[in-house]
Amino acid sequence: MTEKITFDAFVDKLAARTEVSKRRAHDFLKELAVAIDMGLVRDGKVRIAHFGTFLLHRIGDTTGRNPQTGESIVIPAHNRVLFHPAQALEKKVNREYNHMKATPVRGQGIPPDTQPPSEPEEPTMPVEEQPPAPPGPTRPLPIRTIAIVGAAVVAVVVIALLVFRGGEEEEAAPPTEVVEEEVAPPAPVEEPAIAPTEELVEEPVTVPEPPTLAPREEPPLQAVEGMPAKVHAVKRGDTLWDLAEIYYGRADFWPLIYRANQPLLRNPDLVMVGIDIIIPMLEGSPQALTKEDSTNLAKGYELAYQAYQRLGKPDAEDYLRSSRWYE
Amino acid sequence: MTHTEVVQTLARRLDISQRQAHDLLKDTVSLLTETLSEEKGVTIPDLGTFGTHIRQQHKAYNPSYKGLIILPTKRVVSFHPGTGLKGDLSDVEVME
Repeated sequence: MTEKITFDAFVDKLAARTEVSKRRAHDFLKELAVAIDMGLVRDGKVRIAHFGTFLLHRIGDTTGRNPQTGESIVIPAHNRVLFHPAQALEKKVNREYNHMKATPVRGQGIPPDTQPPSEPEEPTMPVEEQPPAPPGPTRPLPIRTIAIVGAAVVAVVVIALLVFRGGEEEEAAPPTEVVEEEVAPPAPVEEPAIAPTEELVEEPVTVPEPPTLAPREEPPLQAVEGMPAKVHAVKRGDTLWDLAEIYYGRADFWPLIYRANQPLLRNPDLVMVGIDIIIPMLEGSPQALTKEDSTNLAKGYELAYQAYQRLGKPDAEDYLRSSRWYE
Repeated sequence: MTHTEVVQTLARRLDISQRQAHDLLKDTVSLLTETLSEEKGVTIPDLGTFGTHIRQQHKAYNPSYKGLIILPTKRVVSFHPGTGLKGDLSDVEVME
């Protein structure tokens, strides 16, 4: 603890805030201590809303050592009063660091190759026999298809050119284009607010250099590790989630596709219209995944986790959990 | 003991209305919260000392990931019970 304010100063502030005499504020705080004490004696627990909970914790007999003589002594059982701050208090006190999230230590979890330990664990929780629904992927992902190569970019390029020319009449045109783009994503319910901004960020980058079409040739060259695969040309409105549903019948297998198209797809929620996407085929079937399929799914989810973490998505960790699930 | 019961006890003992006791408690809580948010501590006689300190970043095991995670630096509230509390409570049985 760093600095402290005195009890007197605290009483003064309280009196000023509540508009009561200092005497009264002082008495109130004294009585508050008594009331909490009484509550602890009676229930062992006192809750003050938005502040926290005072708890009585029993500490049994423990053996200690007298540091001077080295002699063993028994510290008799006693109670200790604990205080658990309420979430509101915790957040306010921690506002400086609230943005920081817990991150997994690389290579600290169960490595993918230690299959045996993870397998025996599955029978232990047969209740979760619905593997189709691991925590993360159950939530439909509003993966936005963004027309970069398609109409939108053409539109934006046109708009940009028109704007550069400074034509006033032409400036009337852009709104209609923009409206069209905003109408386009009917599916995303979750973050319609975020998607448009991504659009804005993404497009100015591509507009100055339309030659970025080049990478389109690369994905087919990307090895899919010997797996048979199909190629899908992305249409407007396609999402990884939908593609997984179409090709596997299981929307939550989308990380497989995401992973197979790795260098090309950065943001899992952003698929460019017109690119060819590799759809890796399963070794087994969606109902009976082989070990290979599971591993691929786990890796896919891990990549998705990394991507979402990069993008600062709050539920990124759900994907890591899914990854562990498939390991 | 719930928040309401604390208010009732205070109202009875101070001979004020429950509304007044409620308001006083609310202001006390907000004042304490503010004080702690400003990284200052305060001692309430017979109750104890509230303060804050930094808990450094550290590693911990997270069972749902089956792995270690790094918990980020955090400013946490500390509470040291005052003697008024401790003395009274040392021989009370805790029902777990």
